[in-house]
Amino acid sequence: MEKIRSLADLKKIRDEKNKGVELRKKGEDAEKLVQVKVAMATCGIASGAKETMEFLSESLEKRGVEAVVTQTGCMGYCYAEPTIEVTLPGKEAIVFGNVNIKKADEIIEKYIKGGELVDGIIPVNYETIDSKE
Amino acid sequence: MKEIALHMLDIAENSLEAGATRVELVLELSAGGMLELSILDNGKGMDDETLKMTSDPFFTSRTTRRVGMGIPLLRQHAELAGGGLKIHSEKGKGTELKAVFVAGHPDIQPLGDIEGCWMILAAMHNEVNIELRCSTPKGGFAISSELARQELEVEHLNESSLRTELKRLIRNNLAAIGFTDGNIDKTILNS
Repeated sequence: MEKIRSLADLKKIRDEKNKGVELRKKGEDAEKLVQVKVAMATCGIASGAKETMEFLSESLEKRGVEAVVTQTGCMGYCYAEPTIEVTLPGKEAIVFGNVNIKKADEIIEKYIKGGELVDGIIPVNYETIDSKE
Repeated sequence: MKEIALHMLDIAENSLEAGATRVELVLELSAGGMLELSILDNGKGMDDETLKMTSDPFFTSRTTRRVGMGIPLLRQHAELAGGGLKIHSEKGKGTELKAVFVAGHPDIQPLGDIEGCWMILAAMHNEVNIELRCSTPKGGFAISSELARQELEVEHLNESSLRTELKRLIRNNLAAIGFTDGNIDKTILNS
């Protein structure tokens, strides 16, 4: 099978990319970065986690927030997918539910950039009926 | 789950969960009008008993919830489109999942954002080689995250501008073989 047309195209991207773009080294100081985990199991994907994740990675970079966006499995809040877990440097992780693009935007602007809590937080002491058995 | 690409992403997550270092995502449209989605990995595989349970939506290896609907949903959507689903797995070697759809079936789901799903997998898993191969009677192409990282001389494919360019590149390649805007081009089905 023909390789993607073509390797030259990929190289062209690389060259363009190297033109004057300063490469940021991420991950060296992970504790100083905002960490965002997007739940991407079946429940998350079916509810739009892919769009949420794409929006978050793109917007955080565009808005100059030093952040690491990763994916995680199901956190058990399938009813509230897409869910994301946000950890600001030096703070406790917070899980937000029903994070569509609009909500994600609000979380970036208010919580990540301003430290202000927004609606949609899933309390840490939340227990499902099952877990009480 | 509204798109075949999302199923692909979902099943690939299972492969990664199984510790695969290579995941192949294959979409093939045959001249006979059958669309085949295969996800092949070299993860830890399943024994026969676990394999039997994969079609049971009330079975999962997770502990955070009690249902596992990824494979049952894909099976349902394949069957709705006149096809079916098969899994072959060997403990310690890996797993092969194939879902077949009748490409011209009125109930087939759209292909969806294939490039976006590959990109997420490729960007999030540096240590894994995520391959994407697509072919139709009009031609084919392949891309792998390992090759992309080597060719671009980068450690990861996470940079937003790079992701945009890679997605555009794949989108153009998909369009060239008749997978246009997330759908199968009607003209290749009728030819």
